[in-house]
Amino acid sequence: MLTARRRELTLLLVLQFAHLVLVSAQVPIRGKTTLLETIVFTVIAPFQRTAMATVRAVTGVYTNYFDLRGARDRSDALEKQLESARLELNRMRGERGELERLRKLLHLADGLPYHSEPALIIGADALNPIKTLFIDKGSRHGVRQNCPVISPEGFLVGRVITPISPSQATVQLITDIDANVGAILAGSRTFGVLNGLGDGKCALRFVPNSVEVAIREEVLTSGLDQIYPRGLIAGHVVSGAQGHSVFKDVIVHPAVAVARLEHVLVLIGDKHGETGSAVAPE
Amino acid sequence: MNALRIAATLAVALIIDSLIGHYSSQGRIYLDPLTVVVVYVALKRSPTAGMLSGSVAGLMQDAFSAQLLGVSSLGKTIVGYAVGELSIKLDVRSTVFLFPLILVVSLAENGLAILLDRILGIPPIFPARTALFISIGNAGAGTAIIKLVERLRPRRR
Repeated sequence: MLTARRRELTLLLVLQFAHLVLVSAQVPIRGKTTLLETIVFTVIAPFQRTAMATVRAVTGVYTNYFDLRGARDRSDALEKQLESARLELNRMRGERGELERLRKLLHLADGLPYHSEPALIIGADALNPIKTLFIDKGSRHGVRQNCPVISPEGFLVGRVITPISPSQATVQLITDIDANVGAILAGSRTFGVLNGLGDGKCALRFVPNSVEVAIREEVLTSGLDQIYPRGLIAGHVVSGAQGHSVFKDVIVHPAVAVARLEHVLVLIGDKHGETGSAVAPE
Repeated sequence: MNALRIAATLAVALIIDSLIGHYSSQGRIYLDPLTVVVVYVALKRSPTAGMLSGSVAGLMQDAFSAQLLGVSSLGKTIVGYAVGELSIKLDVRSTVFLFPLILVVSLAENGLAILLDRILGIPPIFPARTALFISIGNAGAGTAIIKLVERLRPRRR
């Protein structure tokens, strides 16, 4: 026991003496660096550098992780903002398109000799979309039966038929199998009756076999039906085969693509206060 | 607690000490984890183990700091021996004894370092006020850590 204690004391003294020698050897003499300091620095520096690099790497990973988490949160928020901006942009694009169409419609309405009412197409015949469509203007806006309806480009669309409510009306398209329009071939000035074929096309009937019909020749309204004003473009000829009787049927493609229509113009009466015979007779 | 475990614990304490030194430039953290480890080793093993671990820990700490090599090891060797000796004679493991024990040995260690610096005519590594705070920090954290480790360690039958 005593021996062990003595051994411990001896060890303590040896260690303390060694430390004191170590410390003394490092005390700079006349401000110069001691050899021991240089040796220790040379030996320890790589370890210290490695230790600090490890610590920096670990803390770097830790900091980067939180930075990345922050970046992801910011990215999510920006993604949401972008999504909402995209929706807003699409909505504004749609509104701009609508504005342009309405402007075109108003420009056309100003140039026409008729009072007119711009209307939005709110629906079509569910079973036969080339038969009728519905507009958001009705009797309250002066829309009556037989009022002609034209597209923003001025092409013939059809006429108003019953039923008509105060705020909406039905439009019979010229492609409807029951539609009849007094028409004239623009080139040959030959009259006929434009009939819907029910397949999206029309036929100009009662055209004499002797008349030469050119493909793509325009078909205009003649005004003879007392419904449509004279001179509106109804379509153009796509075929005009010889008939078996005195007359032949000329196949006409409507000028208006109904599927792409969004707005129309309802012609209500002429601007001189008279209800023209060719516009909207009851 | 074998030599390898002691070495590993000292290495971890040295890393923590380096981190404290590196990240406490604004407000110093008043703790010397190596002293706490030396106290624990001396308590658990013997004065010899305490002295040797104190000597190695001090040398490592000096090598990784701007201090003269041997200044810390001188103090830590005495800490290891004193705690080891006292733990044989007295039951210093209770909180009532542990806190003042670590406080006194830490004060002695830091006081010796300051005294040595003054004798050698080199600027002290820290002022006496900081030495006091470090000693209190060591006593508080050391007592808590040692008690926690004792509680977590499985008891031998």
